[in-house]
Amino acid sequence: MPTTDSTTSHDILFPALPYSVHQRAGHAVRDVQLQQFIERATVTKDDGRKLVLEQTFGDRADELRTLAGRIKQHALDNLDHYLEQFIDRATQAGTQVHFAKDDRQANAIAMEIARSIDAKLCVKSKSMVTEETHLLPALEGIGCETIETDLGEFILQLDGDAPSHIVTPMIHKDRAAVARAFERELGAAYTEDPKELTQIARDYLRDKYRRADLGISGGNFLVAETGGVVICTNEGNGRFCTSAPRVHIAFVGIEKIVPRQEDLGVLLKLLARSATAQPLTCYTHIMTGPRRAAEPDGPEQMHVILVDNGRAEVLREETREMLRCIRCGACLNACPVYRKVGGHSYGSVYSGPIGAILTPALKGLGNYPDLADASSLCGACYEACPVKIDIPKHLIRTRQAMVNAGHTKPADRLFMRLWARSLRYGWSYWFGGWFQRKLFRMKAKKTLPTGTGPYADRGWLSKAPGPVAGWTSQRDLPTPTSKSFRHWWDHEHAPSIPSKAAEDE
Amino acid sequence: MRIALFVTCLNDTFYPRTGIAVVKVLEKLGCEVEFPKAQTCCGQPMWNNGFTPEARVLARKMITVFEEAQYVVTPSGSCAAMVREHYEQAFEHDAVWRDRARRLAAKTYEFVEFLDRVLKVDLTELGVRWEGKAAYHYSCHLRALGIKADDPQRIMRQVEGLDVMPLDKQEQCCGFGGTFAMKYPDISGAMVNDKVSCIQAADCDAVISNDAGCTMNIAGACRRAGEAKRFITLAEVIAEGMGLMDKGE
Amino acid sequence: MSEIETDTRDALLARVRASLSRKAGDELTEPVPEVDDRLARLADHDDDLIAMFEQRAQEVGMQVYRCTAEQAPLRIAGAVAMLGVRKAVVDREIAQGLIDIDAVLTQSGVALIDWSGVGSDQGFGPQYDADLGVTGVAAALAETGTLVIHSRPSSSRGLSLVPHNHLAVVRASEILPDMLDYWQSLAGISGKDLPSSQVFITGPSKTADIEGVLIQGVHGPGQVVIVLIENA
Repeated sequence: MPTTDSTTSHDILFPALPYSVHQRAGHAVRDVQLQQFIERATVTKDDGRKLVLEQTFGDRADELRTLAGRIKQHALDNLDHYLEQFIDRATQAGTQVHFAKDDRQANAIAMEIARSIDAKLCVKSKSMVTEETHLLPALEGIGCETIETDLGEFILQLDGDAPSHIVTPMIHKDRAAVARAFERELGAAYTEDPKELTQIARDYLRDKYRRADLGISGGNFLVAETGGVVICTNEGNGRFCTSAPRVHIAFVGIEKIVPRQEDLGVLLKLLARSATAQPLTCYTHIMTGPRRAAEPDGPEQMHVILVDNGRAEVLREETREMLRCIRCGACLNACPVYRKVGGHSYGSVYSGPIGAILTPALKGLGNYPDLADASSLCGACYEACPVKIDIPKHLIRTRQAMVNAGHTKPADRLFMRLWARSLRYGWSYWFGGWFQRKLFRMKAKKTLPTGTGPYADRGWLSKAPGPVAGWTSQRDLPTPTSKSFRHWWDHEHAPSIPSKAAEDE
Repeated sequence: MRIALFVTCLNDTFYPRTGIAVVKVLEKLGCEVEFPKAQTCCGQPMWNNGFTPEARVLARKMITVFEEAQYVVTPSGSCAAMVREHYEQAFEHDAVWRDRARRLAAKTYEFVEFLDRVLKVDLTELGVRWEGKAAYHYSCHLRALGIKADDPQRIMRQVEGLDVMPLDKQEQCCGFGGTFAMKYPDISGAMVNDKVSCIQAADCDAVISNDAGCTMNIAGACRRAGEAKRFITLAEVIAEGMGLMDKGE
Repeated sequence: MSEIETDTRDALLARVRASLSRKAGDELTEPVPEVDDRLARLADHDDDLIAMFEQRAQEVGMQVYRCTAEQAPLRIAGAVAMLGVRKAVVDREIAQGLIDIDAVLTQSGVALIDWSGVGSDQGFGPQYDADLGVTGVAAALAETGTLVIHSRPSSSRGLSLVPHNHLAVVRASEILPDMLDYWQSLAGISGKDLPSSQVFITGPSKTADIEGVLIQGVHGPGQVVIVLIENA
């Protein structure tokens, strides 16, 4: 009987705080198999996204993303209005709406519902919010066995592991690990064949669907106009969890609200294409209340737990845009940093570029001091985002907030301020350049001169001092040339008369 | 046409030949080029690291130095992006400076962008000739300027004798990111080594990389890996190709 | 009943309003952004909807058999033989009785399983023994080859989910060009009057979780066959 090994998976997503990326990132970049897996998972999806959006929307794609962003922004700017509408309409349709200020409350509500129906078995489809609240141990603690049914999450649960990608949670795991986990936990015959492994999981889980008292899901969208909950899935487990058991609970963050059904006509068209280059996920399930009297099946009770857990704070103007996120994972796939360090390096439920800005906002700047810092600000994430969240802008804002809150190391602050100083005045700029030239060229004396041709008078350093040591641990550092551009301008530049004047001569 | 050259601190110190090539090409194309001596740095490192007051000081200096120019041209996508995208943000709460920043942004261009969108050059017509097989490294900050990888490559294809070779994962960041490369050596190192692998796999003898930061990073990594490819900017290719500069100087 | 501190609607709204600098009863900051047809629409009534639907459905891995209403029983029999199924669960009201599905299946040697349980304790119970589920559709979307299935008295949510094979009978008249048209068709209907479940099916169930290897038929059906009746 599998149990949730909460120690290991918990530590992965909830490490000791403050959390620093260096250790895990360092291991990740040296893990050859992990690198191959992440590369394959991310590059193909990113290329696929670009291709399919181009093929489907042509030059409308950019404007469509702008529209999608505006729809989500509008919903956030008026979230109180749409929340009220959703609550009222969902209630009219028979859904019971609950309010959870934080993770403890969210779990407590779920536990109470589970107790009220004497639930012994719960089947659960993928929900990042339930990872945030760490729901599983809470339910298991009251005697309700809770099984993740999304294939990737099921495997991770069996193996005491944690998801490393928002959409494709186990890109970091190989088939041998899956085979071992199934053999160990399910008593299955050892096989590494993905088809056979999937069949084992399918058979095992169908038995659970039959007997489950409770089904739990997340929610991709909440439709204010109708009070509906939308989930987008590929495997079918989401439909089982929300249709087979007598009671269904949807855990959904308050920011998932969209105003109208027709807005789904924009967002759904971008979601799957951005995530996996599919036109739509295999299943889009729109649930508007429990089964109607005349319907033969479907849950008798449908609950929605509206989860705040820090989101109302993030809703403030400076950070509000981040809540547009529709959890497509496109930014992860596009990010050159994510491609090297993988999801676990972010030490949080949300990884990748969106995680780098959302996690500090939700959990405290000082707790995740370098998530927003570990970025080259290349902008690939912004280009990929279907709702146009300006992630680079928020990365910089987070860095500004870190500096203002005093979270930067004093040595870094001093270095930056001195550097800025030196650039401020002509004389200090000149002096800084002269000093660098002299120092580095002296240190690189052995490498000079390097033959003939352009930049022959430049040397290279393989070991630089102080703050620059980080550079030379990975690559050589060119020294300044013997003469700067300014020198050429002052001493050699003869402004050529424009060719028109030359004709006059 | 009067152009004020913003050569950038990195080019001034490490890649002066880029600046020289830019001057020679622009003058050859009939522009008058001036070099305001008081220029230093656009303030990007400070801005990127969240040191906003310090960034503002340098931004004010930059704006003051270049305010009177007709056009400001810089051989750096990231510096152009700093001026065009971020100066206004830096002066969010200062209407006067924000306005001055906006006016500077409206006339600031990256060099290749300037050739393409303002001068609208046709290098074939100009008879630019440069023999070689070169792959193009796309510098990320061009994204913020609305420049895609195809744009500079289109210009490159106008050069006779220049074979533009494909580069795998062309748009993936090389891992420079300014101080990022020093603060996160493991990650940055993994990123640049990926770029080096793609370059090694490309059928080229030169890499055209127009941003000094990228070039320092990738060239330094190639050297560490024992990979000898020539790194050159498009400005230098054009200058050499027009006989304004010798390949060996 | 344990003592738990819960949030309330008012408290949540108060926190939200504080962050938005809004008060109860405030107008919307702007009108809802319009869903621009020019940007979002991918198909309209000028397109050959039958051909488009067929192509898109095939692109996502579903099989499509076009036929007339008269040919339909033969097509269904053919599909059933191809799938090699033996036990089916069937929606009681497919295509408004255009075809006698039960008769066709029985004649093809397929046993019909009675799936109507006693209350939801039965759940999908009997359906787990079936290898074929047969349904109609509430609508079909040409732009993506999507089947839209509603929960209703004559049907079970499990018919297009539990058995490994799903056969859907689609009439051409049920095909809408674009998802936008589908939402339009529901405009003005309040949530309580909508079916409790609407499902968009765009392909057989699939996953690529294990090392990126694509597997069809994980939990939901691995084979989806569509019998598309052109003249109904």
